[in-house]
Amino acid sequence: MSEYHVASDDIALVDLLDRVIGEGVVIAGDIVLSIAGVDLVYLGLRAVLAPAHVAGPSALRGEAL
Amino acid sequence: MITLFAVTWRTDAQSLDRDGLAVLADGDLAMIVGPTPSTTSREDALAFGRVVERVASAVDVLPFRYGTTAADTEAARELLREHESSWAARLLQVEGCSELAIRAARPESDVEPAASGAEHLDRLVSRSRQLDIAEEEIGKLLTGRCRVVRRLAGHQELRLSCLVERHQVEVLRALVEEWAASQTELEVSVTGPWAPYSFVANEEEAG
Repeated sequence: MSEYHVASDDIALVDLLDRVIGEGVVIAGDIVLSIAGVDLVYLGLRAVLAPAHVAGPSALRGEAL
Repeated sequence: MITLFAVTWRTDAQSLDRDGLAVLADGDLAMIVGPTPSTTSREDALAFGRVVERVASAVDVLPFRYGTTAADTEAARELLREHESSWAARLLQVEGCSELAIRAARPESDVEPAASGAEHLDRLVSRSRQLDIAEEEIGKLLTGRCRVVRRLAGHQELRLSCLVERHQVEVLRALVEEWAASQTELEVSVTGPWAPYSFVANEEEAG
């Protein structure tokens, strides 16, 4: 396995967050999340939460990005 | 309630350092699960990601999206049985691979307010073309070295996810960083290797 390596810690955290909340295997049904205590988010099977670094309140409510 | 972290091969799961995780096996597959935290925060999401990365550093995985849970271990096993053939097929597709993330964008400090709406639009077009050229140039570096490349949605930035065989990870990183060093107007980053999050979507979801 390759050694873990990042260009910078901050960018790596954003890239990891992008992936854990916006990619990965999704099982049919809704997932309920609360990000940073801001709002409840209902993720349908096809819904994608905006990356954390660009997600404002509208994105957190699942509105059009 | 249990949190679902990842799916792996049953035979690989036997060698995992479980460290608080549980392994549920059924057929050829196994699911890595753990307790569900009482909170959901950005820190929890990162903690979830770090667990997945730890597992992915040892075995091939299909990572679940953060927030995926099952009512109990029996419900999780039922999911494993229900999805066995499609998850096994997807595991084969990412076998031996990690994900590298490449970003390219103009530095934010580089952006002065536009004098007019027309100038603003001109800048958007110019930046879009610049990113398209960057994508083409990076694409040449990736050709033959990546199993799959995806361009992810990005706001005035180029975001590429590359499914790379592990022995090629550092080769590709070095190539992209060498190219990045010649760029005077773009900031470029390469992060990873990550678990192959961007290459395990349900077929009906894949763009």
